[in-house]
Amino acid sequence: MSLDRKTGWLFVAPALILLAFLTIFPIFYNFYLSFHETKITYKHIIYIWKGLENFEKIFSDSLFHDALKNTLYFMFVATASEVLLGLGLALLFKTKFKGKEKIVPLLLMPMMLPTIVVTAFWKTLLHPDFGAINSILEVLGLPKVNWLGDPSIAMNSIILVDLWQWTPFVFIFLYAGVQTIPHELEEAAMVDGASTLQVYRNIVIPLLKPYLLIVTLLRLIDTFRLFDKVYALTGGGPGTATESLTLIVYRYAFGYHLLGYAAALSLIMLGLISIVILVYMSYTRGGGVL
Amino acid sequence: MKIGRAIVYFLVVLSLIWTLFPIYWVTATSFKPNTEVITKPPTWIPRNPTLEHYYRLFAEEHFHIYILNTAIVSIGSTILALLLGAPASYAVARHRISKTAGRSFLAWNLIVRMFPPIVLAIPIFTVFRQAGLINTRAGLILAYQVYSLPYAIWLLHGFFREIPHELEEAAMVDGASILTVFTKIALPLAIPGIVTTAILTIIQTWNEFLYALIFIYSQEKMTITVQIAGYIQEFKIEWGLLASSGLISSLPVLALSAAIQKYFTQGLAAGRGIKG
Repeated sequence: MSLDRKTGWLFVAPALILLAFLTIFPIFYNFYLSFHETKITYKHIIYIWKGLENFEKIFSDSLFHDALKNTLYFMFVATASEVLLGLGLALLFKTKFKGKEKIVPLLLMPMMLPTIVVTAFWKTLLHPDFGAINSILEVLGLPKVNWLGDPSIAMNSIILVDLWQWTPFVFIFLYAGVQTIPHELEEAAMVDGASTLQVYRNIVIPLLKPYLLIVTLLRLIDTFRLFDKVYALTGGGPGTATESLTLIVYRYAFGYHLLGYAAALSLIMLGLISIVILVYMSYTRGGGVL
Repeated sequence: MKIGRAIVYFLVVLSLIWTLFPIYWVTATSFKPNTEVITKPPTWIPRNPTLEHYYRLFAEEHFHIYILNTAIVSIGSTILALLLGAPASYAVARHRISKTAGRSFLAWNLIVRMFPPIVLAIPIFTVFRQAGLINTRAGLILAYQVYSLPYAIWLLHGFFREIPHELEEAAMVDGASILTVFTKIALPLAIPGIVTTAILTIIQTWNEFLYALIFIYSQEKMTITVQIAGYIQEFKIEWGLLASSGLISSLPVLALSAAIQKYFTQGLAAGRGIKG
């Protein structure tokens, strides 16, 4: 190794060591934990070998089944709605109109707020008695809705909150994509007699495809972590209607101190999201570095 | 064509109402006296505006303590991420380590940012517990490197790659060491990028909730997000406190993100491997 390379590694080493401790060691330690049951004493952790027992228990754990179902539902419905709405907005803002540059930053505000603050905002909006949404429904003569208390609605309300917060991200991401499409292309098609609809379907959408795919993957990865909103708004309820994977791992680990079981659950989470990460890494070629 | 225009304006106004109404409603609530918050039908504009909730937030709830804690933790973790991340990303950007090693390092940083954070929390917590780092701000700053370090490395790598390297090469020919070149030439040139990275990293940690909830349990060390979550979960909700605390906590991040508006969306996408 040349002297040059050695100094190079000295530059990288501190970050590399901390990163290895924070990200590589935990994966191995989770594997170790997942085969054990732990007893936590004041000073020590006692590990009792359990083989695959934790994993066997997970498959018959109905809370896990509910959390998995809810998380996947949230992930796909929220992502699909955000991408569709964001695409609609990006196409809307493709047209020229007055004050556009001033309106765009206003539309981006929700995604700049802390998630827990967004949650606090929507707590005041969704309250069945004093919330703004039900008050508006009342004014319009429509029946009130129990947004967070009705098990068949609660998860959709959480999706609504996520939609408010993250549609702006999809919008601005796709809007950046829209601006890369050369005007000449559309104009040429128009000259050749293509209708607006045809231009959108045959030129704009196909050129936006890479942006659409990437933003969809980013939203899938992000929605999979669902925690803040359900923790503060519903606590996973009513019943198990809004339990999420992160929420139950959090509770098993830090509420019930079942570290082995929680570690096994978190490995299953990691396995599931790795599929999306793999697609993302291969599609973007590792963010352009591989 | 006229109808088309009208539809465009209608949809734009609709999207503005959808986006801004919740913010307006909470702002209005924060200025309403308690009796007015629960009147029916609700008042759309505060009838007897008051600052009592803001007063209570600081005088009785000591909210400034949580703001201070959050500031310490987010600035601390940003400084640490920059101290470790800047030399590392510089060495990678200038190929001071082999290209394969550099690429794998960057790719790993990207992958880590996509992990659900709870997955790493259990092992880190267990080690921190043995090391006495639980319920300390230093521990939370260290744990936050899960988010901050890969983020800073990705952003800084992009900035270092953009600055011209002719100057550095000339200095090397004159016999300057890599350390000198890095501290005297590259770092000063990269200052705008470093400031942007710092702001984005501060925003990210300022907003964080899960690790703050797990790693801190004494009231006097709590961050704003954990405190607000407490307000949300109260059985008898204090609407005024909920609204005013949420707005106060958002002001710093709104100001910071406005300062780097151009980079904000790029920043959200970057560190995820996309150029904005």
